[in-house]
Amino acid sequence: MTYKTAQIRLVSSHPEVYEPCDDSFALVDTLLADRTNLVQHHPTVCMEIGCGSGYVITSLALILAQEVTGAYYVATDINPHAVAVTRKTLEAHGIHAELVVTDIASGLETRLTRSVDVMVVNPPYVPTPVEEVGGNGITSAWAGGENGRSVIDKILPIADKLLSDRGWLYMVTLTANEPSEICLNMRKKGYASRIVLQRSTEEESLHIIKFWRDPELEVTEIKMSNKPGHGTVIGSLLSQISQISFLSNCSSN
Amino acid sequence: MVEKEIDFNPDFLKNMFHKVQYKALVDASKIMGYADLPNVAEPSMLESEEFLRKFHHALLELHLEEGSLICPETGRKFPVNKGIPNMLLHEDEPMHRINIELQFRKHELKISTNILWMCKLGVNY
Repeated sequence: MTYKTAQIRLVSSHPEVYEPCDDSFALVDTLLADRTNLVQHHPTVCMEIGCGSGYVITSLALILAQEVTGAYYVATDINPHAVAVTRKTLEAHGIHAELVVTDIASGLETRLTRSVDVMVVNPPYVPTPVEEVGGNGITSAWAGGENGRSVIDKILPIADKLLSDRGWLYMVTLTANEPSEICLNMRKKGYASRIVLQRSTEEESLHIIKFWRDPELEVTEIKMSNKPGHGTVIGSLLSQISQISFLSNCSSN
Repeated sequence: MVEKEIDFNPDFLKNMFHKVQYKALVDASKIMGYADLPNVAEPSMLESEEFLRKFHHALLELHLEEGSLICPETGRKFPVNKGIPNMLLHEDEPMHRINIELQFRKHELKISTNILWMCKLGVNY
């Protein structure tokens, strides 16, 4: 059985807005592949940071629509044109989402603390000179500064604040962003993670990471810090990440 | 301000009830001209369809289409066009990009449309 995603011909466009591309398709393919888990997860609040053309948030809503009725969708972008285009894309598919022009989630953080059950982010991940970061035109869709991490590293603490206890985060990264280091940083905040999709295109090697809060991890962290022998810590952390990911993968199926 | 009819979905509303800061929604709806929500709500009220209908209306059906969100403390207006609030700060606003969250912490909430309960701002329409 195939499930609906947003239709490209119904995705609106604007010269200042990033059009759906390989990274957007990879993220939507990931959501499709994880559909059974998402339906079981039954999110109440879903959020996209950096909605661009609206292709991803619209697809998420369509993927869930058949079985998860009444989810609340929120999407933000720093580019006002992008939010306007997202509104048209959503309308063309008969989907409603709350849209806000803002930098990541500024102005919404307090009220949405620990509320978001599913967050999707296709951040500006392209390594660029730092000066290119921070505009609100189309460059904001890709300019990621050093290692492409400038904006990613701002988004993650905010995602941590907004995600509910059972919150999931799907994020697009490149090899250049050092996804394993991102996973380790998130692990320190109590998140398990798994690279759920890897795809090499002509231009880039994409990794879609799924993060979820894992109470067990915080316990492990304390135990680990009591162990002597600093050099082995990273190695064992990495092996635990894969173990934990594997276990939770099994239990969710 | 416009009203849109949205399908009534009790299960979703029960889930949302635990996510929403209820007082913020009540204040928000009042400013939007809807005063039927009780000031205080207990989870037991989720069994009442009458309450759920009101909660549904306040949360999902009241939309601010054109106007602005206002910081009651500083008077700073954030325009709302075609239902989309623009919360971006100007380059020359203090703490811009450096401590943006602090900037917003100063804005104590007065209201919401169905998004307004999410931000600590007043409204004008």
